[in-house]
Amino acid sequence: MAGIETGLIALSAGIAISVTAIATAIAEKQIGAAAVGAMAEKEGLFGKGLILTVIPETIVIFGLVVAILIIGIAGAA
Amino acid sequence: MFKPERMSKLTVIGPKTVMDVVINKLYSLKIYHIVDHKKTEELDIGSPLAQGGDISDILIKIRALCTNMGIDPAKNEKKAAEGNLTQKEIDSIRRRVEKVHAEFDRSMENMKAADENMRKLDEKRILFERLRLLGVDIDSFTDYSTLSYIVGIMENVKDIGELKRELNKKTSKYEIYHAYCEGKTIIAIFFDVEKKNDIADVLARRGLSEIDVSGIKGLKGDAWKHLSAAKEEMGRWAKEKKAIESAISGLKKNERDFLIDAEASLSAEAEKAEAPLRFASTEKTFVIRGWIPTKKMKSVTDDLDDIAKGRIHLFSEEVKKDEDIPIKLKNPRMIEPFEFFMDMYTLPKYKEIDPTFLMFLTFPLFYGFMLGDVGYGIVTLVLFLYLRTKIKGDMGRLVNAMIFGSISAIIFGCLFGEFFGFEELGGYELMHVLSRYEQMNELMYVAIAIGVVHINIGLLVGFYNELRAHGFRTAFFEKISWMVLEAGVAVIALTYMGYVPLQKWVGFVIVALSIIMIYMGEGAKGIVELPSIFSQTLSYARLMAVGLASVILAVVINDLSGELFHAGIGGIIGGTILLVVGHVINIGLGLISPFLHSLRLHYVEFFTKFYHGGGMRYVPFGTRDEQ
Repeated sequence: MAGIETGLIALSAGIAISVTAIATAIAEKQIGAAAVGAMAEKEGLFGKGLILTVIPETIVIFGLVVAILIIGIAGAA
Repeated sequence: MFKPERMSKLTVIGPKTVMDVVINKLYSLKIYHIVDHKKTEELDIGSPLAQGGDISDILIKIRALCTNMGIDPAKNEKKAAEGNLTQKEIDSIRRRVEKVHAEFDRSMENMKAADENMRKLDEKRILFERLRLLGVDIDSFTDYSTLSYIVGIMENVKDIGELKRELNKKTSKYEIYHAYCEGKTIIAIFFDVEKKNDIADVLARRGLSEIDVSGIKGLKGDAWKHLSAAKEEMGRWAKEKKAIESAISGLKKNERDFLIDAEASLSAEAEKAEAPLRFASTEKTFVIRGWIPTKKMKSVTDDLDDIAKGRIHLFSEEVKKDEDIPIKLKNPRMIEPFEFFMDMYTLPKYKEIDPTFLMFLTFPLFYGFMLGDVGYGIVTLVLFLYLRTKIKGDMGRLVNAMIFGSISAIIFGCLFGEFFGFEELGGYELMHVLSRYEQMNELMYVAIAIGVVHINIGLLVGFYNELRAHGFRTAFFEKISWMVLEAGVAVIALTYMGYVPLQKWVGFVIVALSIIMIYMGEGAKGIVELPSIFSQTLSYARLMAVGLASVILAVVINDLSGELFHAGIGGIIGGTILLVVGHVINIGLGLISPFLHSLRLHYVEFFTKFYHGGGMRYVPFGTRDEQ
């Protein structure tokens, strides 16, 4: 039976992912806009633009790692 | 494999009398990378060959013709034109181009004239049609001494009773005809010439727009006859237009190959003619500086000596330090597709290690680790094998590289025991070494372990690069220091967890030592970047994360459609659609996401450990720069 503690653990894991996902989205929004602007000037920049755009994705991956750690550590305790 | 092609500097000095021969030879060799001469006080740049202007003129005409005729010279199958045209051939090309040009111009002018005639006839046709409806004879529209008339049209169908009443207030000396046509009202009104202003005033207020009928003045007979005559003439012009069109397309068909060939060979000639602009020159001599692959040095110098009959002087200068040497990547054929990723990022410097081979090893590994599904791997493999037959050139290299990625995805699919997200088939569980769905934590540890190895390989390559460029001391403090830091942190972690029987301070001492080393190697910048090595290692957790997202999406699709399959006929249809669409979308994501993340791990995490780049591309004279 899932108690309130389980719910809190799940909630905190969810917060870890969602906040980092929003942060990633904000960062990628600006880079993406700039990359599209640069591409309009020079089409060859597509590759570089794409790579730069996915750079902030690290943030949400850290969020996922933290979420897994929360579930792992708090779940075991 | 780890080094770009070895290059040697070759300088060619000779009298201008043999310049064109030398240019022709170098152009056909396609191996000499010319370094543009910058004008100095002692040495000016050369001036184009004499026929240059002439060739440019013809070339402009050809390109204009191609544009106007809708021919794309870039679609030339045998693009490698050598030029080597004699003056006679150039003259004959010019004559033919001028002929085609004149013929095309004449056709276009005829076309314009035909269009203009059609337009005028169409106006007449409309006028005759309207007059026919009014039932007024054509010869009524002539010059009178006491009578005047206005023909006009009003928007919408209008009752003219009101108009008549208004006109009656001014005069009764008029006669009005009207008809309705296409929802408009056509009016012809004849009146006393003295009342012209009054009547025109009323008509203008009523919103009548006058039709010019001066064109038919003097014509006799009824409108019907003129109408059919106009239609007949229009038919004749339409035929004429068709004839002109077919003449143009015939011209295009006949001259297409000639124009494309001429464009290619004249472009080659133009490039040769303009080559002296890149040379240094005096009144009587020219100097070309450039690079050729070392292994071709002997044959090229022999060829040049041969062609100029010993009248030119060739010598190889010492390569100066920090000189920009053009980069031609040199890799076995199998690895070559991965040069695409180097082109996309930046080419290595001459003395740097060319990381193409390392990318060949790890790019498919990461891609496969993230996609990791036998089914998806097979689908993408088939897709890329198909694309390989369709796409050539630069993007073809990418497709070839992705074939390696797909094979790797199949292998990892076997290791993870996944087939389109299913971990069992027909009731039998697929063999697996590690289940991504069940063993997330283990998967993360594996991913991070891969990261540790990858980053340390990067540091070792960096050590080698620095060793060659700046010597042992710099290399040691800049690269090995980071490895010491990693070791220190590992010792701290292991002693705290009780795996290593050491005093707790040992790890901290190692870390402190490494920080001092980093400071000595990279200065304050290194201290600021201290945490980056850990965030970058942790960043390899994406190998797990991206893969997990793909697995879970696949499992969700399978479960949902599985449930639908038990819900009658509609459910089976819906389930099948969901299954197909879902997996297609997931494969689409599976192509983009692992590709980008694998590339990013190389560009951001791996390359920053050793790679500077910024090499200049090797573009031998005679190959058109495609950038």
